Amino acid sequence: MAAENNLKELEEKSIFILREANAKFKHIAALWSMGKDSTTMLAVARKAFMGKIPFPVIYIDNGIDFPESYEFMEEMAKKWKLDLIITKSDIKSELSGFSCCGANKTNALKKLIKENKFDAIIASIRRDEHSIRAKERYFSPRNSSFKWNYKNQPAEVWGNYASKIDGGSHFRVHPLLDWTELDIWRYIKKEGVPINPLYLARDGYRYRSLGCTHCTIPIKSNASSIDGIIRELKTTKTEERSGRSQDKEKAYIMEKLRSLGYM
Amino acid sequence: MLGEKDHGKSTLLGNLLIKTGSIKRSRINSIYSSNVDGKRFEPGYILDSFKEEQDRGMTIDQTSAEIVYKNKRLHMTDVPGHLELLKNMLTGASNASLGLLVVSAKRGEGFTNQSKRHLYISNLMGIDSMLVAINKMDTVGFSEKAFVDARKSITDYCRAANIKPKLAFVPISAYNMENVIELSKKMQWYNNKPLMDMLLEMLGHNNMLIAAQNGLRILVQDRIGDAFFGQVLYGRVKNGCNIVLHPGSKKMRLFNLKKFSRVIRSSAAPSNIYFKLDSDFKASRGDILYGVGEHPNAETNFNAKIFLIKNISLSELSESKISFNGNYINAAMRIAGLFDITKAVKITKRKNTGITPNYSIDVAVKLAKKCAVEHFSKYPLLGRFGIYSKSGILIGIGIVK
Repeated sequence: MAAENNLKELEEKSIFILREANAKFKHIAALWSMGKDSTTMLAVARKAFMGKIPFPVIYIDNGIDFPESYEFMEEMAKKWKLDLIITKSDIKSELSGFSCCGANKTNALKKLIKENKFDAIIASIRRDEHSIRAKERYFSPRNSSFKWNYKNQPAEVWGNYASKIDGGSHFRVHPLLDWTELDIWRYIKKEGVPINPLYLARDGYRYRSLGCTHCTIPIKSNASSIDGIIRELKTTKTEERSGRSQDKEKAYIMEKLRSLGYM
Repeated sequence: MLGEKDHGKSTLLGNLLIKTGSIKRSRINSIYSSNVDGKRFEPGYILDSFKEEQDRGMTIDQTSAEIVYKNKRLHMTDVPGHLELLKNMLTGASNASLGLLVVSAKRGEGFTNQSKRHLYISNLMGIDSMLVAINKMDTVGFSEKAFVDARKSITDYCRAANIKPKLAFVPISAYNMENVIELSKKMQWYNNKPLMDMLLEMLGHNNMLIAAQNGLRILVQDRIGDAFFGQVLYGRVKNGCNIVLHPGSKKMRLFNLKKFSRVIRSSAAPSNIYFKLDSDFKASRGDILYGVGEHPNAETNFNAKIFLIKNISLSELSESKISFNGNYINAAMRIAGLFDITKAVKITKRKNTGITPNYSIDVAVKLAKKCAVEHFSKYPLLGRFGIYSKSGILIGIGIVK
């Protein structure tokens, strides 16, 4: 019962943030990686906006995502009538980790934001993913060179979210900031949100966190259902992104990536 | 989690994350291994995750973390103790329903001006219960007298400052986790609960911001064609009911009430809704819908108590805007009285140079346009505001008296 109430509370807060962003910004878009978090965000947005998401959904295609992910994308875009923008990033095969995310996805996103004059981008990050992300704001400005000025973030007091800032390029909006990994799976279960099949175990392995084929490693798991994943997460001793090779670098790499404009 | 810099807030939260198993072992290990350059691991590094925070041994920005304790999910926020980082402290404190003030018992530290500021401002913001952890008891030989002295300095201050938070005190050592989760054998003279149990007990009694109010209050968030998005802040809205729009006191009917895509009969606060209004009179973002027979306490002129987070000249203050729930309004503020928070005295004579974060200020506010305003003590969500500079930076906060 307590967990159920908490999901309702989280959903209401996320809906308020999504509607607030849609009211305050002129050209807004959402990032969708086909992962569990951004798919959950879209499910919440459908509820917030009476079944039809009013803003475009961006997928950055680096050409090296899993075939299952591409299939999932096409199916969902049709089912939810998404206004999908697919943008290609150039991939250099020897790149991985910091330089990969930095050079590829971020540059493609920069170009897209400029071309479409987006003043806000919805990203589905959560505080519990990484201690750097625990310091984020719901509305978080990026400066003219797309950097996160994390040492001087605007105050967020009592629902007053900053939406204009001198010398800024765009805002990142974070409707799922308060959710945990377990909340996401409980919500997926409760709402019947479709998920990328890669999350479910096959032959003793599953993906817990999805990046591209170059930087994601599956974990050992027998969780072949959503209930199984929820059970697994209650007892795991490892963190979510341990299957992401870019995090194997120093702990403050995330700070660098984010300050460079990586989502 | 409030209090002076270096009194142990991040250490306490870091150790709580580790000892309650609220953080995965692999993350603790990665923090250990990322700090191999000659320094000892500090529990505070879990929260102080910016490289610069670790290098300088200080918290720059607030961090929120979830502690799971006795099957309760506690969302705890660590804020910076530095004077120049008050805006980050306000960001962290603005979502809190309970305060945990960390005050060091160490000689030369104690209940400082910044501890007073945090205690006073959080009380102003509506945090009316404060659990006080008297920390670093290991540095004073776990002496009962040191604890009693620290406690007295805080209760004396509250009396002098005329604030009445509900207080509870626990002597602890955050670094060694004495009296935090389990009772300490080194402080046998202390015969109450450990910190975390005290915290759970106080949380159960503290619900000032969601105090049950019968009146209906709906914030209009956005207009979508001929319909609206709104948030029920207080009370329950029924489909087809009559409501009054403020500012303006126009009476109209609310219909086609929906949540998600379904038409519903009613919805209770807190709830995000969709609805239509049968009136040519336009409602717009920031307006408030009231139940029939109810009206706001003010629409243009009201008294408030404000606090400014940095030195502000009077001309800067005169150019500021205030924001209720994200809606910015130009406002003129006339100073009616000043109170020195750190000295706990009223200021009668003042140099005309400006205002500092040492003061709480009574002001008479005149809004440039009408807005539905409530007393903070009755409808807190409609009686609190941010104060912004001309360029849109937060310079203070206020509550309607």
